[in-house]
Amino acid sequence: MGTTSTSALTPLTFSGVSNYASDFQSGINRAVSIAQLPITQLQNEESDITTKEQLATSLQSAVATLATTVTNLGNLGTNQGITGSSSDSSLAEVDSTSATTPGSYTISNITALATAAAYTTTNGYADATTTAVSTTGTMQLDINGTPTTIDLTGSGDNNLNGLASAINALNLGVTASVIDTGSGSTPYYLSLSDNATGQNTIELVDDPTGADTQVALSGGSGSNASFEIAGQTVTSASNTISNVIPGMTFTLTGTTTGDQTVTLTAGSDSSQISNQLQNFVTQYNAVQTLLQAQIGSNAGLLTGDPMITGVESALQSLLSYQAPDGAIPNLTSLGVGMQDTTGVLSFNQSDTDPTLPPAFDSLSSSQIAAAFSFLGSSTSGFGALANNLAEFSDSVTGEIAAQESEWQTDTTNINTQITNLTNQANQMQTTLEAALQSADSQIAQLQSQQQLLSESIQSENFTAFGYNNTNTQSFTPSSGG
Amino acid sequence: MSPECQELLQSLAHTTACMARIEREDPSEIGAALAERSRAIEAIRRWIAAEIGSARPVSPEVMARLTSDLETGKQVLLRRVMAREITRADLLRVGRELQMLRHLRDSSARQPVSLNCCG
Repeated sequence: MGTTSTSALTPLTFSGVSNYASDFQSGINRAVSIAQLPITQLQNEESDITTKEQLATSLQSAVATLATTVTNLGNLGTNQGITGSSSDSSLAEVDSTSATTPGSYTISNITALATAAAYTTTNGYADATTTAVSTTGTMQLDINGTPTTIDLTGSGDNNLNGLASAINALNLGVTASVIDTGSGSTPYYLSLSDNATGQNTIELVDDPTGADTQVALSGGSGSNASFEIAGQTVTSASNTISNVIPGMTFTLTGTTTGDQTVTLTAGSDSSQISNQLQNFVTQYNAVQTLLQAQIGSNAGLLTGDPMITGVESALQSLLSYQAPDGAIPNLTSLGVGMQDTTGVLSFNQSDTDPTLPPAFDSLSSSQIAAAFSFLGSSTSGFGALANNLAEFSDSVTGEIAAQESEWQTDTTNINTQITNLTNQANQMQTTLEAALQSADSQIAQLQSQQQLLSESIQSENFTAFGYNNTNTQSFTPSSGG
Repeated sequence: MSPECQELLQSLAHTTACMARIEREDPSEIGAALAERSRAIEAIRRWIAAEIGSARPVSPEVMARLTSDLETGKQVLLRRVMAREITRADLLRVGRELQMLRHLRDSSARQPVSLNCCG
């Protein structure tokens, strides 16, 4: 089940000289195998946890996506799949609608669109950085009569660039910029534009507490949009209107001529259901594929895990959901059915094959209305089943997240074991190094003794017999190290 | 065999036997046995040199006992070499274990798996 370690210990080849060397070799091999066991176990445990985490993360993501799809289906039930549309987008466009009831609204007499105020100084300036714009260094910006003082007394501020920067720094909703026309002796002009549409006047005054000189400006003060709906005239500073038709935001894009009108419609759109059902089937099958990989004889590491059986159960609750009443009692009546015995879902949009669930396109208008009722909302009907999925997929409170947390704890414990084993191995290494050093010293000393004794015997043999008649060669180990 | 010779041979035989009996891997005990045997061998070496210098051949009995001690020493040396080989094998094994443990420790320090609930 676990992933086998690929980095096993390699036993040392023993280089002993005796007839028992092979026995020593076997002993070393056994010792190495035994020493390998806890490390292999740690490696396998860690590998298993990593694999489980990856599988669980994939499952969590897929379940969360499916939950979102189910929620979206519930939302369709809430707003009845209503979308907005315009009969003439050159006059008005629907931006969004949260309407829950269908409706139609006619707009006429769009006599004006909202525009933003925009001014330019009537007189130009010779230079944007050196030519003074104020006689005293103090100016004033009036927006719809509300004055704001502009201080240009700082070094290098009393010029066109300084004035534009100072106005922008005030953040009054007016943008100032310097225009270079490139012609004449005074090519530089100040441009003032309102950031929003609507009728607003902008004035610029020099030395407001003294000479109070009006700076001549050319341009327009901006305008409000004006139109009629249901016989009532409406004016708006913005072309985007959100407070006239309940639940609908639309934007005026042009003015009408004569009796020209534009109709904005909030209507139920069944294709939203079919699109979301197709999406649901795709996401359901994605989760089912992940689950099937953890079930059966070739199951993955999450086999038998409660999260697998739990998600399976949540999926089953989706398929078996029955509305208490209505023409659409279950998913099958919407064209969603099991493709075969493998648990794969399919959505029948238009196929008339009698072996398939009824085609979605064949549903009557009353059945479509019942379908919205079947889907319910985020807290009722089919849409509420998203909560069953969220119990597993929620990144904070979900069971998969809780399992992930447990695995993190396991990983921490394994790391502690690794640290302990590392410390033990470090200590063992130090001890063995000392033992090896000691053994080297002892062997050298013993060899020296043997050599000394051997030489004495040889010396005596030569003296007594004139040759060496005994086998007194000193032992020399052949092992390296 | 003179009493001096007998004493020297007994000393060598005793220290060699002591050294051979040591089973424990106690470096200080082995070191002490080796030092004692060194002194016995040195005494015999000097005695043989003196005998040779006095033109007195050493008896075959003495030579046989010396040879026997030399053989015993060989066996001890063989055991020590084997013990050293095992220690060396253990050291290499521990070294590999450490290497793997450090690898495991480093790989365990990876970033936690991120959770995605947004689909």
